Amino acid sequence: MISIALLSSSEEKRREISLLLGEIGGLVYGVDNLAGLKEVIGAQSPRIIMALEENPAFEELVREIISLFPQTPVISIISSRDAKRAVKLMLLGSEEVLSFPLSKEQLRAALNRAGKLPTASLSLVPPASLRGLYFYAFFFAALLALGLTGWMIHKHTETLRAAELSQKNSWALPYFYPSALAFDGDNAWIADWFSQSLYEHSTGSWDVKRVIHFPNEMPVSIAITPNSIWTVDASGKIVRRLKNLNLTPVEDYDQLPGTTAIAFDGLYLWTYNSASKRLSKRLTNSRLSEVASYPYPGAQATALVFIHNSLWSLDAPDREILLHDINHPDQIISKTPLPEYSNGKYAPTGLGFDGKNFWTVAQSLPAGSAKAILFRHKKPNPL
Amino acid sequence: MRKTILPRAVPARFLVVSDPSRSEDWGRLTGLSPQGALVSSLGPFKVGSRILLSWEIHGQKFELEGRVLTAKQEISGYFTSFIFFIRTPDRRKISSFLIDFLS
Repeated sequence: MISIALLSSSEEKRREISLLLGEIGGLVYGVDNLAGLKEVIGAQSPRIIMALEENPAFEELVREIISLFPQTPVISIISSRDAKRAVKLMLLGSEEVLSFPLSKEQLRAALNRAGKLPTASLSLVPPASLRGLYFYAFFFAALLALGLTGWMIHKHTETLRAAELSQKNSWALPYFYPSALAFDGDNAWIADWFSQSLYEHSTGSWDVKRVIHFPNEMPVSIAITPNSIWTVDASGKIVRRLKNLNLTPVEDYDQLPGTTAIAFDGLYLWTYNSASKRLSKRLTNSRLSEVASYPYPGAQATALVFIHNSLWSLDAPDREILLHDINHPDQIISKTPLPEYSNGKYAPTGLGFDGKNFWTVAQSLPAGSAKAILFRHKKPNPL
Repeated sequence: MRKTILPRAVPARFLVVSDPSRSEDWGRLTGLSPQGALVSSLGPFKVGSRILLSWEIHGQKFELEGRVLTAKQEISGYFTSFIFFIRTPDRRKISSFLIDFLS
């Protein structure tokens, strides 16, 4: 129980405040003047003095109380909320200043702290409590930074993976004996002579979209035009097909034995005969009449490709892509080596151009020892 | 010297700028640094509220605006809040005062 000397000339106020203090465990000695206060302090040694403001000279009264009883904490109670006056009273020496209306919570807090007035720490560094806060702020900032870094690393890894994927230059194919390659928009066609089939692939994932089986043919070369797909059988038979679901044949041409590669330049069909090692320029009539013929300037062509008005061929034995002079196809303008084949594990069998890059399809060496492979090559000059 | 302890917490006035309906309050500064002030008061402050602090130390008067960063009630019933000084010039002002005061 805390003993309190309560100084107020108003008996009613003393009673009112005494009731409140009594409820929170205070033992109140009410006095109505300074002389009474001296008497109570001398006789009862209360722990706290509470002084009520009742006239304008309240500050003088507080000053006097503090000078008379410097060891006893003084709590001033002012009649109305006035922060300036409260601060002034605290500067005079009041430990706390309360104002009407009084609440039990405020009285209890003030009594709890009476005689234990906190100190003030002046420092160039933040108070200890804030340093803790700084620590947590730093900790969470570090955590956030760590998370952000992790996320950035994750994104970077993803980007690298995407870049790696985009830089991937070879794909294994689900068959073993590819013989030709041709692009048609977003799709690519690859012929497999052993399974006697054409495989349609989507160029992004290289998944097989469909397979068309030719029970009576062994495709060795293909050429694609806006409306048709041309195929060459191992016997030399050339067939023009519709680009429908089953690649329905619409025209069979005379056999051209030894033909292993074809290409269409938009007007003429170009063929290559591996036996005679000659390139032929042909009309697309029923006889595929030869308009011109040229000796092949490379070792052996396994595929022909037209890009705009330029003729390219895949010289398989020398692992090169040749650019021919269109006016003199027996002359080579440039040779592009294919270092992908330098290890001798694969032999290129088909060549295609997707609008950006050359691609070759290859069978393993020895044939059938591994799945077929597809290579993407850098764009050769002067494309 | 980087720190000193005053035997009595410094009386101060607090005006809650962000709540004009609240009359000016008072309490004591129990800590002061260039970053902010630790204050003890019978009335609570809401975290995030803007406070105008006024106090006087050794005859030098200060009136700075801050934001309540933390607020908690002590066992005694008093509320302890850290008021972060918003403006850089205010922090510089306190810093130079403290450098003089502590030297």
